[in-house]
Amino acid sequence: MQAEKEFILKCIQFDDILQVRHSCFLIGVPGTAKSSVWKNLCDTLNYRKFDTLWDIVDPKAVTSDELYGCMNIKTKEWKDGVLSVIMRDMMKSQGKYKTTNKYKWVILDGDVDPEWIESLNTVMDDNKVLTLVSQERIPLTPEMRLILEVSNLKNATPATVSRGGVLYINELDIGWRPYVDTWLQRFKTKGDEHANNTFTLAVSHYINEGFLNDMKTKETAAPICEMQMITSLTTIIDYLYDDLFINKETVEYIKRLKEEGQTQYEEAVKIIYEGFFVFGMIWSFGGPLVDAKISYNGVLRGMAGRVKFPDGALVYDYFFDVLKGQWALWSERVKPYNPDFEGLFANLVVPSAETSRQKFLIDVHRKTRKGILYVGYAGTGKTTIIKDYFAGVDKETTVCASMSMNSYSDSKSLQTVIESNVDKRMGKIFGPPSGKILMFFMDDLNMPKLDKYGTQSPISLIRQIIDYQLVFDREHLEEKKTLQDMMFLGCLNPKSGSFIIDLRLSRHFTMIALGTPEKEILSTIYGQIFGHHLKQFDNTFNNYAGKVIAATTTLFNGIALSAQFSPTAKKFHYQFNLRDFTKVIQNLLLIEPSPYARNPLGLCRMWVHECNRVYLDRLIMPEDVAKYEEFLGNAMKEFSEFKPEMMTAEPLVFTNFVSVAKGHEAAYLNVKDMDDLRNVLEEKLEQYND
Amino acid sequence: MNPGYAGRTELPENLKALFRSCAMVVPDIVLICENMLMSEGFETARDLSKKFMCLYNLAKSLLSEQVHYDWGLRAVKSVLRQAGKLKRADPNISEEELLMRALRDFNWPKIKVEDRTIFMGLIKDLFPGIDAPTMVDEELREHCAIVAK
Repeated sequence: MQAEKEFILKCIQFDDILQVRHSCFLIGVPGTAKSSVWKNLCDTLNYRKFDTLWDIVDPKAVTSDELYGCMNIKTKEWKDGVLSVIMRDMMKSQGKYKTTNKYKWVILDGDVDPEWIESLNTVMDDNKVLTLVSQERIPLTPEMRLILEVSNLKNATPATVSRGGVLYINELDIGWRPYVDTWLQRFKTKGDEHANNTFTLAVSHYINEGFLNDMKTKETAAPICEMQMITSLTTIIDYLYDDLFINKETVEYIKRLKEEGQTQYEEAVKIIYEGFFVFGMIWSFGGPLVDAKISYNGVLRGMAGRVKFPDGALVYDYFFDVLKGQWALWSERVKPYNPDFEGLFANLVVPSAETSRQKFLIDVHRKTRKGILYVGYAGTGKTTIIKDYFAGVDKETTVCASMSMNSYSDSKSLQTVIESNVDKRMGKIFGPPSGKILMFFMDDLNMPKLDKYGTQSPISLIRQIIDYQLVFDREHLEEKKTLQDMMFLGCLNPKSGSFIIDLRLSRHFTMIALGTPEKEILSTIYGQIFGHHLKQFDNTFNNYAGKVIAATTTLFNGIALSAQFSPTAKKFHYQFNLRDFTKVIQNLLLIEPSPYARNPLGLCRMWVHECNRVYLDRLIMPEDVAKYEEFLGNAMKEFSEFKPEMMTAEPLVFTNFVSVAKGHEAAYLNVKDMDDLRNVLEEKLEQYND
Repeated sequence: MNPGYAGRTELPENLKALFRSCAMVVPDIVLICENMLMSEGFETARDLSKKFMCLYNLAKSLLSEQVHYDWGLRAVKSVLRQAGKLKRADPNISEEELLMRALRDFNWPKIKVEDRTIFMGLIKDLFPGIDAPTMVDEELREHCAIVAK
């Protein structure tokens, strides 16, 4: 930490307030060092031999009954709550508290809402007594203080606000500067002058005021704060920096450089460090951007002085190759696709530049246990990326678990799932088997229902775990559990559920926005799958994989980008996303070599049929159908060797049961005659009715 | 009762009928303020209390609307107690300066950046010519810095 003037001033002001008032609000937007202020003051008091102890609880991570305790209506049995236990221990100086403690702080770190805070009214004013449902009264002793750490007071009534002192921390009071200074200092203490110099220069060169103001105008996938991006940046650089001295290849490379001569070594190392910094910039500041990715690409290219990007691709497509001292494409690092995959089509993952770079980023964050949050609309591959990572993870060092959130998920159900994945280590410490990390993936993080005051209890619980590694045993609320070696991954779709989650949680994550994959990635993924399938066909089918994918892409882009096909109140089911693309290709995989020998027209007709089923069947307006046919016509130009009428000629129905009914093998075939189809169906209907 | 507050329920009509209702209004804080100042040992309590309330009324109307701003009776009382503390710690300083310090230093931590200049302007207008530095516990500052590192 840095003894920054403004920060110290805040600590002193906080002490002043605590001298006069026994309850105090600590208010500030996320990432403004609220927690650091009280922690530092606590340490200072301890340093001055004013024995200070504290206990923390997020009031919204448990229910109101669990906070204050409740009476069982049937048995009249009293069950203690989290806060009542803490306050009683403080008052009676039992547990970890002693009569010699100068100060005892209760820290309530979480959203304020009238339902729990109104019960504290008598504690916060001059009565200084907590009255429980059991008629027990717990007085506040002179050394006890109530500290409420909140990001806003929008749900607090004037009655509550007037009862406490207020320390308001402005966004600019402390800011991210002290954090970066501390981070830079670490390189100095390590004795790496070059790193310290290069990074110091880079911070002032890249993260200047103009840049930050520019970033504020760019739209991110979900709300974000500067501190969040800065911590992501340092996390990524730290990983790359440490890896430089662990990875055998690079260690030897550095050694060789040193032997070659001091000046060359210095030059090379400086370039490497700057490369690391720029790579961190790509993902920390550029990761959360959606449409602004392109303009950010321009900004970063303009700024990257010594480590110039090659032309051709976006900065996102590059990683820094230490051995060569320059940028290299992610697509060069992609592992070949393993076509012999047996399983559901939905679980099939084709490695692409996207999967390999996201995998790398998850690895980066795994080291410091910082979470990653993927933000993107339906069908952008959020879940797939993480599931793919989990499938390939080293089982010796990592335990994976996941939970899909829905609107009924609450903190209790989340806690149950988390607790089922950890073991008791010793005492009150819980965690995955020692030596392992638990990677906990929460799908659709923003789905839990908002309560009346805009809080999602699972979100509060996760924040409590990330900040303090703390959960309360839900059966015996006086028991505290410490969770260790956990890392959280999350996904959210900003078009569903509560749209966004509390910034106080999301700021702990590195946010990465996922958009609809680019054309190249689409054609790599689906081209490889379909191309592999077509390999068993005769040579008349050469080139058809590419043509089919190109036609599907044209049609898909036409529909997905046209305003006419956006969901409205009348046509709310017009949701076209990548899943539809997938469905077309998935259905086309039903084609088999023998019935279609030397008949590419059959494939084209089948393609038209599948598109009709996936898109056309959903359209309800005649003008939409006309528009669709126009798009289809454009797409069919890919198959220029056949006339469009031949492809769309009726009857255009494909089934696999007509051939079975006629005693042949099941095959997905065009129905030659509609009467045939009718006969088969009527026969089946009769059989069923009998 | 505090009707219309979030998180509180209305008193049912049938129950309400059994009580005689009695409306409360905001008391004249100037008088309270004057008496409290006097009891804390201030001699020029009448003038000071007027200035005090003038500042709070102006602050209420001129500063931006914030949920965490409170210029009511509770806030007044805590500042007065603070002023009394300062008075006893150093009885020889002029009373105006004491009160100004209490008002400024005690409200400063909760003022938003946008409102800082306005608030300082108000203080300067009401207590012209007084320039008292903020009292800081130097020892505490040093210790804070040591611990922070």
